[in-house]
Amino acid sequence: MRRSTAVKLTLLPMLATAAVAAAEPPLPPVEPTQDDSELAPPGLTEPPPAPVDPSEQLGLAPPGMTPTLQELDCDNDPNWRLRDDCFADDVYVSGGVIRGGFGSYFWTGGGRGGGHGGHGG
Amino acid sequence: MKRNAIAMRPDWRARIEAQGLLFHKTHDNAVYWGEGTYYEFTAGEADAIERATRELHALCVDAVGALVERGRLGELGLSPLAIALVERSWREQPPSLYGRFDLALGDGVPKMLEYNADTPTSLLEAAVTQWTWLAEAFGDGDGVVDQQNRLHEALLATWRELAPRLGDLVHFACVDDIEDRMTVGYLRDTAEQAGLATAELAIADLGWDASQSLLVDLTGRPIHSLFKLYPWEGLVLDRLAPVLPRLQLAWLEPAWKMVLSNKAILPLLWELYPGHPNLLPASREPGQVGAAFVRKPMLGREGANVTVVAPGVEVATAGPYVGAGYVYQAYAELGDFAGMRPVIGSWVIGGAPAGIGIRETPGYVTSNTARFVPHVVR
Repeated sequence: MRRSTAVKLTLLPMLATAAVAAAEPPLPPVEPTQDDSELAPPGLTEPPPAPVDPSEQLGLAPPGMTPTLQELDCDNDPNWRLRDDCFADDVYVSGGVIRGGFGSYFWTGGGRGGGHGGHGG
Repeated sequence: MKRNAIAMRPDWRARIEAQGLLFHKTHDNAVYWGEGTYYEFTAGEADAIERATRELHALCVDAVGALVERGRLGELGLSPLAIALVERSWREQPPSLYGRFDLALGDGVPKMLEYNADTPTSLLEAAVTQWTWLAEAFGDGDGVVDQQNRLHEALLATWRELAPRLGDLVHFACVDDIEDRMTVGYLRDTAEQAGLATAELAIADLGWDASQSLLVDLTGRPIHSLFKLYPWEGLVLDRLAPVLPRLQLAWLEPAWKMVLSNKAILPLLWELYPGHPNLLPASREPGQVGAAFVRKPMLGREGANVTVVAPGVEVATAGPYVGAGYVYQAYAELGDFAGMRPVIGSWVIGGAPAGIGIRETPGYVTSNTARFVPHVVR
């Protein structure tokens, strides 16, 4: 026989169910009542923290990752990867760890094609 | 090779969605999973595809070795960083899981169109969805109706084989796309069934901990083995690319695969193995492969920026992959089955052929709207 004798899934059906649930539109918001706000735990009624300026976050970058001042534009600067202004992504530093530094390449999914292609690419 | 019609299962949609194939429509809402038809191969045709796949994989691996040894990686347009990563990866021979050839079978002899060696998809539908379809549409087949599809078993076996080299926990990362997440989910499923512990995160959430010179996940755990459904040509351009040489981790797929996923490998294969029956003439220069040819971008995907010139045919697709250079490959007939042209996706798992999946399109370029159609071997 050329095919698998058994194909069993254990994790994927759960992931699929979760993905479907996550994609469903959220329930309409419920208008808060006076009682609700009184019952809310401490902190929930406080305003959210102000967003941190990404340039300040990058100031925490370790040696070698610190953006350098450049006269060149991004297209002509060999060190463009190290410059904030050459990116429109969401690089940030948290707890000494830099995140958001991968994944910015143009990528529409592995692509059913993932390069499928006849003579497709 | 034949293309036959068959009744669709009444509950097909619920059946395949329960298996994770939530992406059964294309991005423009056309049908992607097409079980109203199927392709039928003879045993001889299936054997020929398997033989060609085994042979082509061996040629490709040897070609990478030859290019590394002769210092020719620059001919692929790779950056110095990418070349360093490929050379190191080739030297260390890290684990590798899978790849998928796209083959043309129009003239009866399998011809390599390209090798999606780094980030192939359409795995779930090939390994699971069409396997289940066969079992439900034909029953046991009385030993007569079969399928070229040991993908699931091969994945489990390969994970078990790789396990000692992958450590206690394998991380899986991809972009936020339902197809990619389900494909990665399927691979996680097979890894866990093989006894590995897994965790998943978005590519963007990979963390660089400079104090330890390692990647960490969102909980701060070190990443020692990483399956990434994200191309190496992207990793080497990302902002954190400069840290890649400092990382000691098992990448799946390894960095040397970026040589094979680059279409500039096609002319080099033709140069190394001229006249091979499973290869098509290819060149970096126009006018070298005959009057009927296909021009592809070196790092293109999903049929974007492809030009086809053949008798009575002149087609060009749009797309973003401009500027990195092109390759020219002799035109290969895909076959015409009621106006549809199939491409055979032939999988390599753990270094060996493991099964096929078929995409068909009415056009001459297999793009991301091409339909996946199941198959039988009879």
